[in-house]
Amino acid sequence: MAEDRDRILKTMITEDELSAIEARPELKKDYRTEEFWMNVGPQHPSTHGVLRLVLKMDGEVIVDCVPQIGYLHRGLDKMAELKTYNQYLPYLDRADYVSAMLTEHCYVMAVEKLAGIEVPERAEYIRVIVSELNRIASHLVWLGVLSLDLGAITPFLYCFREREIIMDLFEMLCGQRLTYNYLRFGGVAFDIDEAVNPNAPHKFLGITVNPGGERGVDFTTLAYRFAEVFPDRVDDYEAILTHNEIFLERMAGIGYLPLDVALSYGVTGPNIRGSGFAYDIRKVDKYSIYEKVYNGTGIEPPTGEKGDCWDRYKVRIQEMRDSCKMIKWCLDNIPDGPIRSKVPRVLKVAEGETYMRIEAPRGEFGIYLVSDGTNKPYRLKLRGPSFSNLSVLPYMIRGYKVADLIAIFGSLDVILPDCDR
Amino acid sequence: MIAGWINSCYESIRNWWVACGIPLVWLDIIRAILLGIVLAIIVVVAVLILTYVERKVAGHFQSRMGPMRVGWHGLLQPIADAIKLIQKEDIVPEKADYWVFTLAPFVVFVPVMMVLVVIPFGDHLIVQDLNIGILYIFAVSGIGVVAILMGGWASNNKWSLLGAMRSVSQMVSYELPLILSVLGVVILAGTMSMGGIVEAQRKMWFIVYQPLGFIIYLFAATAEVNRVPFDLPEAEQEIVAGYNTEYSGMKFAMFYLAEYANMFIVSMIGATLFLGGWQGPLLPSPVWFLIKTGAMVFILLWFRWTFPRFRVDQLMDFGWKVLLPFAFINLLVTALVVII
Amino acid sequence: MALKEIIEKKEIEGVVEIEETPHLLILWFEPDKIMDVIGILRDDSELSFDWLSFLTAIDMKSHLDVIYLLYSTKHKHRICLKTSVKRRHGSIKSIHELFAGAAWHENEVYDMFGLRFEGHPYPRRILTAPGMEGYPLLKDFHSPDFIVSGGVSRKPEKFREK
Repeated sequence: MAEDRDRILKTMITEDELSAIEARPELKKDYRTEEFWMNVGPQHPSTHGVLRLVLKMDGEVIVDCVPQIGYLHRGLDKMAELKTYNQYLPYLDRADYVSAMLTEHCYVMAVEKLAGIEVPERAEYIRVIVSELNRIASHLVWLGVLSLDLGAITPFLYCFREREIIMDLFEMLCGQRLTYNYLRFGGVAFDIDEAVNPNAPHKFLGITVNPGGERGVDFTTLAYRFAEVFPDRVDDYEAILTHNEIFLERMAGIGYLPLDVALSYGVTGPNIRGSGFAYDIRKVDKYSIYEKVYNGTGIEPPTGEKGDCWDRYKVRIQEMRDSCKMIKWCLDNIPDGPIRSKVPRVLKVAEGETYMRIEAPRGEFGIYLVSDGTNKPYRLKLRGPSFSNLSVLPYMIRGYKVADLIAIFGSLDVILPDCDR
Repeated sequence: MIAGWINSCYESIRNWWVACGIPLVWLDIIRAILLGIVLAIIVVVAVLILTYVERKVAGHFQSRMGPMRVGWHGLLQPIADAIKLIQKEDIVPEKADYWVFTLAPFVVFVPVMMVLVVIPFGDHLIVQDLNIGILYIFAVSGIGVVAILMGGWASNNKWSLLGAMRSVSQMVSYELPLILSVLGVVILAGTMSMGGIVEAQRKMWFIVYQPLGFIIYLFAATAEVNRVPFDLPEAEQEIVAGYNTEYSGMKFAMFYLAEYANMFIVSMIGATLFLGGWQGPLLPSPVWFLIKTGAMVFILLWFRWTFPRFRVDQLMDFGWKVLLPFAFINLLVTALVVII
Repeated sequence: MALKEIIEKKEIEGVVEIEETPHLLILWFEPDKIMDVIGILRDDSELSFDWLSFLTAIDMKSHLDVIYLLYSTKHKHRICLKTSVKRRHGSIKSIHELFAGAAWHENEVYDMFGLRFEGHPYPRRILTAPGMEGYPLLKDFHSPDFIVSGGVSRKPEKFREK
């Protein structure tokens, strides 16, 4: 694959052109035609939510871009100040609804840290399992929507077919498919052994279910089977996308994000790993049981080389495979024991402040929590990864075409409710 | 068989007409109108079937069922869609150029109907076998570009205009390889008449002598009818819906109809030029023609549900730097072989 | 050596106090010296705080605390910078030259608290609707009963006093 890409890069872009793009010169005066302003959004098929990009265009070439956000602003920061700690948990599912488990995970860890609540080992394992499942689901949405944006409709449906299995798994576990409200302070709401469904999603996993049996398939069996089967499915996606010449030409060599720019803008997650910096908060902060997971599985965070759309694509594809390994390892090594520690019903958190962050599918999701000793947060600040990731977009798309805008924006994996909060 | 029956019917009516003493011009006019109606019905029915087939094929490509609710296995779905489109409100944007905007969907239909005149649907089943058939087809099909530009310009919408501009540049640049790829067939057959070309393939289909020409024709034709991977003029993820962004209801349906009819027509032309037209053993000739057309249509559907989309500059590169030189080589080699 | 001692040793001008709390190391500084303090923290090789997680503010009722959370991807340590500014019509220098990503965060703080950033390239209310009155994250903000599109907030006819 590497040779393929180099070949394409060579045919598409010379060294001089590359440096020219990085230096971002204005277009040559002689060739300039009349510029005009155009609105992409708020209602546009590929803005992944409600985003308005005001583009200054020269023909099909983008001269400048101003993102207008806030269409999905619900004031989640303010809501936190008006609700008790327990009441606020379901609201967080709406912050980044494609990976709700991870936002919950961040919040419960922040509160646990400040209130000094211990979490049983088994609960930590369950948290990691659901987090990684949710990460795969989130990446599947990204991959499907990206291929849809590039005009390939079929991979989109393949991705959502597999995502459906994860949604079914979560439905077995907590009854919800999108906004889970599953994590609790000091543990999780239900044990994975209790999650049994007679109508389990066995069809695409090749499991034979005993239809007369009283208990259907349990969560562990299904999740394990999914983690086994899913890498083959990723191979399928790669067969239809990675090895496709047109897809390669659309993705490789555009949307360069140099590392220093990425750091300066606060870009996180697969985007900065695509620029060649192995910065994975799971690995750096070692929160929850991730240290054990990384030691046990021997996974290294995948990185790209050049920081173009193609690198970001490859990083996310690899992350899906890695998540499968983590799920398998966790299911193999999960200990018995309680799933929740004793936590008072009305939770009063000691005075103080903390910052907790996790590696969400889109990057660093952080919560800055200030408590004044009552049962409500004094100030809660959500740091959505999409907010910073989107702020770099104007830098990245200058000089490219409208069609590239779609590819670059898609490869950044921005989700607007997370951005606007 | 069918053609013979129709011809004998026509002969007897004609004799009766002459006996009545009415000028023959009137008969010709009535005949033309009737043929027009028949062709229009063929187009509409073909498009209805095609939309159903496309959705069903797409469904099975994507491991789902496709339409299943309306009628047995969703067979009545296209009719339901048609009824829905007819019922829609006919909206003309306030700032649009009213007459151009209204005329565009009708103009887009002109080449569709005109091209059908020279297509041999079966043995002697052809409306008019012109001796310049192919030249006529390409001359007429150029009108389609005008209609799309009319629609895009009159909508007074930046997306529409971008789509129309993309469409025109694409169609103009892909017309060349298309014509060049067909010229090889013309040299081999020694005639431009569609009937004559089918006759010339009695021994062997031209796809055997012209494999490169066929491939070039396939790509250029896909681009010509704006299908994936060349569907830039209506790339909904980039420029909303291109030239028909502002269209709704029946006007939109006309564009839609023309798009699918065009797809059908390029398949029919491809089947006639490269796959031996209506010729084949055992089965009646129109059935063979339909089978071959269907195969071509299936290839186009296959493209659509597999490939991503090109970018504008890549599309132009592909057309001018790859297809056109190969088309020239193909033409040159064919000409040399024929002379030797 | 602990991070606190390293910073104390540098004797950065403008630092008021370094406070060690259980979860965060908090550095208080004078608002006028913001560019120097953050500039040194970013460029010093022993500290190299090259990463701005976010910046925000807290309404302390008498004043606003502005908070910058910096992180060093090289040394893997974190620091929370705090400074106090006036609650109404307060202003502080923009740090978008040091961290390009700060521009949007500063927009957000302006939107939510009404704090102005001097030298900001494109000051605007980034999240709330145009025509919005008041600053939502101030503690004395009361949400309007209804917001009609176009940004004019008013009560509908039947609730209005006669």
